[in-house]
Amino acid sequence: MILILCESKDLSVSEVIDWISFLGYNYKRVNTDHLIDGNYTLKLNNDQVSYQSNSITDDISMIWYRGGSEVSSYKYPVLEKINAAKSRMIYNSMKMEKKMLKKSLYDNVLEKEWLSNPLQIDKLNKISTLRLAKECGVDIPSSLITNSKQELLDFLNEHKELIVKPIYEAYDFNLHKEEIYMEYTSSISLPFIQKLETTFFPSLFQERLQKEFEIRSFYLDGDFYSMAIFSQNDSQTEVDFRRYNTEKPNRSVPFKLPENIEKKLNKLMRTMELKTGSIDIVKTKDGRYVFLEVNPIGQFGMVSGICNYNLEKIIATYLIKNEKWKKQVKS
Amino acid sequence: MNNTHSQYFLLYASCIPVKGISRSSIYDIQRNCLRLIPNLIYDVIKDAENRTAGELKKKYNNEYDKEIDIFFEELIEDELGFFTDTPKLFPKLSLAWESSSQISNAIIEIKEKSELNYNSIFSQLDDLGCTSIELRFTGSPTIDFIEHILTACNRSRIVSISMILPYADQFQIDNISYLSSKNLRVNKIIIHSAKENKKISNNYMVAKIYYTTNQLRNSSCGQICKENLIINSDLFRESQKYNSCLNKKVTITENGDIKNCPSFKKKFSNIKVKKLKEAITDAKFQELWHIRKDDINICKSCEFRYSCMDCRAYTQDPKNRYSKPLKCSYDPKTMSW
Repeated sequence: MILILCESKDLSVSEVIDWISFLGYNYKRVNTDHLIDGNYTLKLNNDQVSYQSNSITDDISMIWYRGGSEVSSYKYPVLEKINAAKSRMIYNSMKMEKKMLKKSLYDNVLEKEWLSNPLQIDKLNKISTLRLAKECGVDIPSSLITNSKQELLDFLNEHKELIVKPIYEAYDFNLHKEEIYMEYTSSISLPFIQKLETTFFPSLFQERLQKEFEIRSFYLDGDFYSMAIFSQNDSQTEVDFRRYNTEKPNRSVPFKLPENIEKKLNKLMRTMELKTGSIDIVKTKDGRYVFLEVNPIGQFGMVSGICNYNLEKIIATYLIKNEKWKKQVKS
Repeated sequence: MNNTHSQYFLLYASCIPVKGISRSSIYDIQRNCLRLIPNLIYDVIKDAENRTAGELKKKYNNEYDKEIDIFFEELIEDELGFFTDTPKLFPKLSLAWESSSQISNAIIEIKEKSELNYNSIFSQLDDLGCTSIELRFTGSPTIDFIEHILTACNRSRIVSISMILPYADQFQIDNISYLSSKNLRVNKIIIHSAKENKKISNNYMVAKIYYTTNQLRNSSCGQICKENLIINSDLFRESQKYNSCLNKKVTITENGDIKNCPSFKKKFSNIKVKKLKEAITDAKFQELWHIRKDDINICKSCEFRYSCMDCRAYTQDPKNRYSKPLKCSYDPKTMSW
């Protein structure tokens, strides 16, 4: 059977599940954000894991890992009675407990076929991925992590235009009740740099690429499903297309990556042991295909819908095929 | 524009030209709108698909160079197309349409104190993968009864419910809003035969609520007019191969009769004696699913044919299965409604 580990709100997963049922196969879905309230038991003495009283270790050969946010918050009544600093400490400790709770689940179903293995995903980060990409012959943006104003000025001199982006992930700040601030990739200018102190918090800078268009490519075990996004027509999305323009969405069309680019990216994905992911690329005006990053559990719904790739069915078929194969190998 | 001489002009893949007898349309199925163009322009766009701008102008004996430049500039300005050196890297949008449902939409006539087992009907629809339903209530159902019906849809694959209710005293805005707020699958409520026309919608509610003084009967259906045209990817693709109204649709009448739509006389058994799955897999039941707009007289030459919901129940010539919908006044030849 196919086991799906995902977030309760993952709509794309529901659509893949519709296809799995339509094709006549069974699945078990575990919403990892509900591990606390969903009746989860791990019996260490016989390696049995159950969720909602159903075993999720028996009869499972294929696991689709969709990541998801942390385990949902739990109301700790005791925290309301103690002071803020102490409750913060307890909160942080609970957060680590919840993280390990999820990991305990993955560890105990490891001997299966994964799409993709979360422990493998955990090893990756933006910087090491860029380095690996370069080793695979993939073009990457000229990048610099520094805390020195002088280094930054030299870098600007070399590339004329720069952007700054988070070294880790884009983070949401929920500062006020109804406003969410999100870290976006932004352009930085000479006057901005001149105002900086001689040293500052280390940050990731990259040359600003002169985009012809962006490419988002969904990768599944050697196949690429790509979409070109014409984000440079719209000043709101020019630097970062996640600043969606909902009134007039960016023109997005099916795209075929040149074969030599696909070949190098395929090598990169195999090196990272990722069987799937969403790859971000910029096609520059001077003809470069520049790799930005890969999201191992990226959203594919938009690429699938706009380009009519029907990825939901393709993923369902892939899971079924590999589940059967793994079962055969076992028996 | 000189530098475009050796480049190719393409429409964005989601902007699809469709030729009619007297004029053509560009369907923008990403931004869901439609642009009307003369047929001559349609031909130019088609000719441009495998010619550079230079070759294209030559095809027209270099007599319209300026017009072609201006036309392309306009399309670029309106974000309908672009120039590229590598047209092969921009494949056309696949128009394939596939569904993970055996039945995707259902119309169910409902009355209180019916002998039908609605729970069983909803669970059968769920097994068939039905995602959207229209509930046509008759008589004067109580709020409790409606709630009971809606509860039966919980934990199912149904994602959209629209309800049609004949006006009664219990259907004041408060009660109706309450129903809507408790049942987020409900996205439209129409109360007909009401005392006044009004529309209620706000940000806190999923559903749009309409009160109309008109009386809605089954025979009110099938109207085709400019305002009813729908431009989106799903309908555009589905209608290439299937009937835009009846494909994967099933109706269960007040008495349990199984039909393609409530307006047809023809019934395929009854839910009391036959499983829904059996009734709908009958080839006869699915016959009408395959009548495309491209097969229908007059419609097949209409520039609006992939944005139209069609109607097979009320047609101009009931003896001809490919006859134009009765309640469409549009003439594609004269381009007038």
